[in-house]
Amino acid sequence: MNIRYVIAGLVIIVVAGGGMYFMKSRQKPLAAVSEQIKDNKTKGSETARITIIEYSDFQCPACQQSQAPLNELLARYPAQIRLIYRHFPLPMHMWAPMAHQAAECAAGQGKFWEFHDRLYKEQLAWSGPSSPLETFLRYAGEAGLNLDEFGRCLADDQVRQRILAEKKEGDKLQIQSTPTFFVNGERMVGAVELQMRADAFIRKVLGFPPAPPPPVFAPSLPPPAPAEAPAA
Amino acid sequence: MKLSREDFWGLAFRFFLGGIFVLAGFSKLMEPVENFRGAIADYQLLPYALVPWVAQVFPWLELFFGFFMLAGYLPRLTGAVLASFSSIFILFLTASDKLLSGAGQNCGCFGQNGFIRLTVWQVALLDLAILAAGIYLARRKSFPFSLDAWLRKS
Repeated sequence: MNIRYVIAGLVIIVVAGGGMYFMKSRQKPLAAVSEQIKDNKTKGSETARITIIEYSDFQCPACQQSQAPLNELLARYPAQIRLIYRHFPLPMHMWAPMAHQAAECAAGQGKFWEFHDRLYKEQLAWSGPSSPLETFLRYAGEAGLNLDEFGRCLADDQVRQRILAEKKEGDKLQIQSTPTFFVNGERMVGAVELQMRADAFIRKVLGFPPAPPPPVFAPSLPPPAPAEAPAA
Repeated sequence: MKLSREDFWGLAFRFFLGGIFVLAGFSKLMEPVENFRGAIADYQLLPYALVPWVAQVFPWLELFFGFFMLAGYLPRLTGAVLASFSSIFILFLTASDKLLSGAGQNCGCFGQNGFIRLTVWQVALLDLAILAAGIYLARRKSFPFSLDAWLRKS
């Protein structure tokens, strides 16, 4: 290879890299994730030093898988973590809008987390081709919600708009993959990233001694929970 | 200059491959790096310590080799490199359970936030097409309208 080839290659790299750098520098800076509490989709102490914001979709299998490492963190640092949930229904999931609206309606009656846990636990049961409306009404009944109010809320466009507003906030943060977590503002995308990075990050913020190094490969996440047979 | 049928296909495959890789690199680089990092980590096939490095470096490689192919710079070598990238993607898809379990999921190939969202099945087909085009270009002798042809002449 002669010198002309080397120069030509370098010119392409400099032009392409410089162009990319220019485009990146003109990009609007990402908004910082807001930790403002707007509703009761939060748990943990208000004075906690760690705030985890979870953007997720109830019908997304990866979000379901991320619940195990997330719950482990909450159990390991019970007084130090505050968890805030934000809706991020993905367009590819047919029943996600209804699931999110149902969860928001449960939040209106103070039962968001019960509903949230049930939606993930039984994700396979309600994610099939037929409408999960009856299943959600059953969950609401079993959670002790006022069913008249819940039914009205499911049809309420203002609730739908609130969910869409949360999704828009996520869009501004360039989230389109779920689950995406912000741990004190540090972005962690997916269940594996949460499992591998969050603990060390939290320990560092809290000033705890570092944990033993993580395994070379991420340990397998638990498979999706088997579907519970629908009630007859 | 009249193009033979082989030259026409050589040119078409060059633009196809170059365009795909420039777009893939560009869309990843315009997003927060954590998005691609999460997508790679989810495959659970690389040692985790490599994931941040791959997430930082790979989009640049896609961008540069994509431009090399568009310009026709070392097209045989570039074709072989892009075909090998594609083989790695196919290996990732088949070794992970994504083909079986994630038919509806975004592969993350054009960034997570990209305007092109392909399912893993669609991207597996695209990777096979890229592999075939890359092998075809790596075996070709002449590349009309390429930087390589110009450098050889001058």
